[in-house]
Amino acid sequence: MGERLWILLAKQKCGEATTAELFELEDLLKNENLNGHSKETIDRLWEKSLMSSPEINMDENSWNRIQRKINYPVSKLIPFYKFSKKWIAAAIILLIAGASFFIVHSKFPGESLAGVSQKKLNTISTPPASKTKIQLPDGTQVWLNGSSQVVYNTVSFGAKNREISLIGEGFFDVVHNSKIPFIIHAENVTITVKGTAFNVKAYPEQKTIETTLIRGLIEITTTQDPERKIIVKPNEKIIIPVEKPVDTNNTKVDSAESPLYTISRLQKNEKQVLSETAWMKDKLEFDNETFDDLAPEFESWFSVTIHLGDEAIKQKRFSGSINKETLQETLGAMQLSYPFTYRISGNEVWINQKKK
Amino acid sequence: MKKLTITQINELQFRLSNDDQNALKELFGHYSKRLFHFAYSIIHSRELAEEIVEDVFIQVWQKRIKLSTLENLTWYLYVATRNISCNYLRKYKKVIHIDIDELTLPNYTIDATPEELIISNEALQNINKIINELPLKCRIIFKLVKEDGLKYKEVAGLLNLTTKTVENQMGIALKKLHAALDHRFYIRE
Repeated sequence: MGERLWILLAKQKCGEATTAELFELEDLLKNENLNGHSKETIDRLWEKSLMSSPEINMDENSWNRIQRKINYPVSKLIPFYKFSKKWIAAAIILLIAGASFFIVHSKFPGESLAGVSQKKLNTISTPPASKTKIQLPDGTQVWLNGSSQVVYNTVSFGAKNREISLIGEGFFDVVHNSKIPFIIHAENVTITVKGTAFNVKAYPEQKTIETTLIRGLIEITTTQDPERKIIVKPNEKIIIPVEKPVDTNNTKVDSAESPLYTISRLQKNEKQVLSETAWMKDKLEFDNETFDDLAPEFESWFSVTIHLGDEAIKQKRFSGSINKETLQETLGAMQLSYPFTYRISGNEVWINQKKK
Repeated sequence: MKKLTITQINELQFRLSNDDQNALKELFGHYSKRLFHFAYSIIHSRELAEEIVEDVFIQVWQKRIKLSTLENLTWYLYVATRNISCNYLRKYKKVIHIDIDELTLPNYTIDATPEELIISNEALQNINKIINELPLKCRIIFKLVKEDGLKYKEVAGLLNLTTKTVENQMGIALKKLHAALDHRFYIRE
């Protein structure tokens, strides 16, 4: 039987044949002895579905992710996403405290950072109140907020692992590599990026580690309970207490009794901005906002903790735009529109009504 | 998988343009698996294929007003999947074009019992074997035409082939299926 016959039969089956081709087929069939039974069987199986085996299907959370992205478009929150969206599968913010034991406590499988010769370690740090953008050897981009530090092993990073340690705050836009996962060590917490991008905030003053996931999936383990993998979903914030350098046996018992972590949903303010990621923007703008609403944005922007004296000051409204201004300059300008006093001590800021 | 009628698709397009997220969900329910399979065949990664399909539906939502007057939404979904897959290929594999010989396809089996097809179990196994022994190009064309219900012209456009190639490959697929069933394997009453 000629190939033409099969081509025409297939076209007929798929509704692709022209009238002329149908006539041609009819002619061809007159001279061919096609097995009628086989034809019927093929007609029958044509109606049946093809299954893939093994069956591969989408993750059942896919729809939820789509829904979240539609309802909370990340690009509106974080301009960086606009030019790096495809790289990004996860975005998290991490707040870390008490990182003084950081290097010693960092757990790098196979080799402790502390044991590696300093020559092999690359440390990138930023001075207070400055922001910088760096690129790691694997192409991963990191925006570092002020007073922050990233350490990685120049030899093994990208080749054997993609592990870094972090103090302070950073936004990580991780290049996808399914073979080598991207892992962040910060104090007693290890974050494994299941997707590809996240934002990490890690300052030594806090008593807790806060991880906020904007998009994608991350997995968190703690040194207290390394077997327990906590999966964080988008728009969730997980708060984990920093491990105290006390008797480890006790810690284990405690973690079994008291909750090791709490998970909460993210709240956006009126401007649809997550205060957790406000620092990422180039500019902080506020228009007739109460000090109470501004405080969390300032906290994120300047990486400080703000204490507002009383209700009266909380309800005062301000408008303005901050770009490179320091906290002092900003507060100074705000004092012009409404007189108040402030005191800055380390990363803590106290703001009070001016006494008359 | 049940295919949507034109009327049903048009209705979904209309509902989408009215900001009906349930319409998107229905569309996702009908198309996600096929698009996922298509993306997977190009990108060879389940994880990335998922991301790609998610991107496709987010794009549909973003362009829902424009898409309300689109004549062939099915075709649009496949093209979007291909284009986004290509972007991923460029990004991760530095590959610019889809190479049809580089596709990854799963094994396919006919979702039917021998009784339903009135053939022996052996014959059914033989058919499944034949399908999976089809050359890659032939197999993806067969899948897209027979299973996904795409037109020859659409498959050709999607895979950057001529319609003639699609015709020939479908002819080959049909001939081989026939050969698998002919004479020996057929149960005679």
